[in-house]
Amino acid sequence: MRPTTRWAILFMGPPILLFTAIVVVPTAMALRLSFTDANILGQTSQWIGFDNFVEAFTNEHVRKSIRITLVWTLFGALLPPALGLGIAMMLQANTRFAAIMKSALFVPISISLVVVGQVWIWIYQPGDGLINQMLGMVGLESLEEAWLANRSTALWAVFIAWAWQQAVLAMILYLAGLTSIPGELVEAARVDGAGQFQVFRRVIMPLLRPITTVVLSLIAINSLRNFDLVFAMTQGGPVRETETMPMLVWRILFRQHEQGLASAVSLILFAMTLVVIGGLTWWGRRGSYVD
Amino acid sequence: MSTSTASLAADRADSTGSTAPEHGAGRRGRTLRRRAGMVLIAVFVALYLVPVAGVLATSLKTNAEIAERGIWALTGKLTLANYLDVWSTANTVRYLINSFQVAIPAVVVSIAGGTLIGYALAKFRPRGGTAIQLVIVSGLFVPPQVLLVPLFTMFRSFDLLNTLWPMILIHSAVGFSVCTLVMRNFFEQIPDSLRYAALIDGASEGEVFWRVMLPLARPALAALATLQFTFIWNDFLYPLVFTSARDDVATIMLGLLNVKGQFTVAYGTQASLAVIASIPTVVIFFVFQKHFVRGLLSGALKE
Repeated sequence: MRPTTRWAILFMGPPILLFTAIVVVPTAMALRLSFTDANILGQTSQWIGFDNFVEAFTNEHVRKSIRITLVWTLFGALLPPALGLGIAMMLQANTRFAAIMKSALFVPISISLVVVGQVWIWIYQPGDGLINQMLGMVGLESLEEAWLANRSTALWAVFIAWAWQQAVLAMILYLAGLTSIPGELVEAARVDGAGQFQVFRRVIMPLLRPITTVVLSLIAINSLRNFDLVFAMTQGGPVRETETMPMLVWRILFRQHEQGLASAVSLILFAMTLVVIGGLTWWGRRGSYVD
Repeated sequence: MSTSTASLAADRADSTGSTAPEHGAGRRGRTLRRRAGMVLIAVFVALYLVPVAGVLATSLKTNAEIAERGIWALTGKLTLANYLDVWSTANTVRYLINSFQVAIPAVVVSIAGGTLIGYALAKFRPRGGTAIQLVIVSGLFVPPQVLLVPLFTMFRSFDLLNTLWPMILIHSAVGFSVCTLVMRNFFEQIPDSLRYAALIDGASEGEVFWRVMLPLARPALAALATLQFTFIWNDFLYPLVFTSARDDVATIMLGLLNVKGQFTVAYGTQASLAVIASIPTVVIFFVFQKHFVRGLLSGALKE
């Protein structure tokens, strides 16, 4: 055995054992469970092949939940990064504010989603909620709404609260990226006759591509895992309108007690995460060596 | 190239303020645009300050007054009564201690383990290293819900339910993924010649790691500590699953959720507990903010 191999085992052995026990083995056990009809009462654990996956893709609640998660991820990949980039560019142009603003903006991303959820409940609630009060002040009482209880607005209401926090994450990363772009590059493009939009499209965006990949990956993972905020704000309601996949897994586990089906749905979510991240990595690599 | 852009970005981000490019547009157009920009920034600031200020203000009003005038009313006396009230409720302090008892060991273990794995992968380059890295980094993409049932069964058989152990163990192990990624990237950038020079001087591999490499890694370690602490402190999924039966082992986030359930209309009480629960992470962010950005970028960019 090479001496470095011995050192490698000494260094990596203990943490890898812990990782195996807590992550690898349970993932394998979840995979096994997903092919059984196990339930929390523990009466049966029969091998039922792909039945759980068939059930998952045909059950209307699961399908709806997959749809909600996909829509959330798609809009999550559009709104917070766009907002974050816009704000970052404005801040960069007003450098005096940037330092103060940056510090102030660390509050939204350092606080827990339980707290974020709490504030936004107060913003949305009927009666003395902030939005309804403001609508009342400008004489638009007719538009007042129980935003989180209404089936057609609940999902977007929770999404906006989430985007509020994620936009800051994108903004901070984009600000770091923008300050790394040499001013001469932008200047040179302008001298060559590029307009403002062209500079943005042809110079700034390509240079920001690695940052964009990071931003999109982080936000995609956060979208797909979104449990905390939904749990804190609506618990999936009203009538399952905000039931993201992690929320659905929770319900199948703790209300329906079907471990097999819950494992199958959680593994579908895992697969979706891998596909999204794989796609983003490919997109980022493809662009990173091209001007 | 992604690598150099990332580190450049992170370095420059610390010194925002010097490099705003001056475009050659007309003076009037520029001031106009700047004013429009400032208005937009003001709107943006309001969007972020109002919710934060709302919680702070609510925490300083009495429940009776909030019930009478509504949460967002701008009037009213400010009082610390809610804080005294929440603090003297025995469990608040218990929740905070529990959270620290989970977060501190889990932050230390996850970073220590990730550093050891990352260093071994980058410098010892063992056979199968790529596969090991792939498995560990894939941990980033495993939804927590996948692990819940098997871990629940496991912790029940070791009689660890309703203790703090499940959270400590899970956050330690799950944290290896991001810590390994960041630390491997970090050590990859440090030239091997540094290690060989120390080895020739008679140091063992262990001494090289401890005396030469670790001190160099301090900024990366600070970044990870910020990330990990925030993540672990703010988590409530695992406490919800593994400690739901006993209030005295609840972390602060679970406590906050429980209080919300118990006193649905005691907004002042909820708000003051929310502020108390947020103080540790907000403070850490203020202290380590530049490390945080650097940590995110280095972790995710360089593969």
